[in-house]
Amino acid sequence: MAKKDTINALIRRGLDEEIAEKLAEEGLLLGDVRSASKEDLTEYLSDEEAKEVVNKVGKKKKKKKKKKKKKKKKVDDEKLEEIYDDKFEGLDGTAKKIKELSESKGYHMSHSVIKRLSEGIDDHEISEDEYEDLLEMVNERLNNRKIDSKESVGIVGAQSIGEPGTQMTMRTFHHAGVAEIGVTQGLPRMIEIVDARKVPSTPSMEVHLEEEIKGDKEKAKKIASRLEITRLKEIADVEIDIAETCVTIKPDKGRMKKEDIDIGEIAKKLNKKRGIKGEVEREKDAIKISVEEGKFSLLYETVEESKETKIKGLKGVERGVIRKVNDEYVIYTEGSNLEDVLKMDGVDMEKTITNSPTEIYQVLGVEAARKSIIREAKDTLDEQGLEVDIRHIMLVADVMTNEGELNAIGRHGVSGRKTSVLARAAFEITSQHLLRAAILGEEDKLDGVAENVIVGQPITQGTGAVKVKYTNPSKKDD
Amino acid sequence: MMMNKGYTRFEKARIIGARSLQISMGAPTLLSIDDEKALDPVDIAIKEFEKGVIPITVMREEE
Repeated sequence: MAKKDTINALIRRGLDEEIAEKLAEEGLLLGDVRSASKEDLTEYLSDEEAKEVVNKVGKKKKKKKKKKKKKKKKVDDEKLEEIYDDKFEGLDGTAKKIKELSESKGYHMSHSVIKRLSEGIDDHEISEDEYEDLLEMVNERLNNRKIDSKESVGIVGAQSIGEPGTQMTMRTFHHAGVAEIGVTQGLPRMIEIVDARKVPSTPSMEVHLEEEIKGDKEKAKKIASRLEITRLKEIADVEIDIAETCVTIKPDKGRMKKEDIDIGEIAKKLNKKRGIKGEVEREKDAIKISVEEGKFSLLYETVEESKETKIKGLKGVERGVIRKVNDEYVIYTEGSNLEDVLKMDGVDMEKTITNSPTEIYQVLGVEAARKSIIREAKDTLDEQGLEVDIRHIMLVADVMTNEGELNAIGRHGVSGRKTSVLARAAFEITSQHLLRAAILGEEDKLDGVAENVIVGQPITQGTGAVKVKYTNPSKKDD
Repeated sequence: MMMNKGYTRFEKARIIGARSLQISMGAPTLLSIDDEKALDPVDIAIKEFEKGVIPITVMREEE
């Protein structure tokens, strides 16, 4: 049996059946073949065959991978420069001027700095000399805000968010924010963001409309009504007829017109609904669902089921409220379904947003999720009147997203998935982590802080990370 | 954070620390300390650092 498995495994890796059989006959297993060198194999096979085996099965990939990686990095650097230059292509004269001037002076200014600077300058007339002075000042301020290498940004960030966090009220103010829609705020909301919950306790969307119709209240209302879930009971009277064991549905004409649906559509939806086990018949102004005679419990079930039937709207969106924000109608929703909203006509895909980073991650990807975390956290803190430097929040968002997916901070996320055994053991359930590590023979590179504290070494940050060396003073030039 | 010779504050602390350890263990000072009132090795090391006479630099990974 084992022989057969070996042969199959070898064939799957691209070997001839003949060679595979030969190897298996010698009692070799897949692992043996993989680690065997060409010389080992020539004992059983011809030179050429051994070469083939080593190429196809052997552990040859390491060297090639390294080469590839190096090449990739080079390309990436070039690409980055390209992207950097591309970003300036569309910018107007001022930005270009600033960029050239700052480069000639050897300043390193990021794209966003230059862009914002040029936007600020555009309204004023500035002479050449003033340009230079201005750039010098900006450069100095930029350098002042730079952080030393080896600085413990994580700890500083954690404290800078944690301390204002203690000041946040435990009370949640519902009804704060938008009109009638309450959004979780304060500490509970902060915890929610950092935990990367699947669904926040109050999911909500901000639906913006396309340029042409954003000032049109009627169109906004129409879109809002298409978003909202409408159930049958809201637009129709559902009556029960025990004598004939049937359910009669009489839709309200006014409501139907308002919601823009006709009776045929309702009948279709009822037909599709799985819970309804009767025969759906359309009459002139009503719909009849007849159930098997004598089965009264089924009849009552049918009534309840049909009442709850979704006639229109998006899954999860309970309510939509229209609000005018700077000459523009925006729909705020209770409940969230970003994916379907973006597919709708008349919706501005670029501006429409939900308050759930997880949903944004699923629909738009990690980078968008990162931005969403920053936005939500900043908004929550701002709402409470707490000022936290945006870079602390950005760091949190980076930590949560740097693996390409959304990770929560805490046991199930970042802390529980650290590469270092000792760091994980220091966090929670120490003995289990250590036992597991011992069984698996895990290795700890002692790269992090917690590990080095446990071992009793200087940590790898700040002063502890600096390596000093002797310089011969007589050889110094300056 | 404009730094002497471009050292970060961690590097500065480390260099002064290393140098003051040498001084505290009896190494000859590189500056004349006749007119100094204090004989604290750390003070002396700081003065030496400011003058740029300490024969110690930092190894950096990048650059």
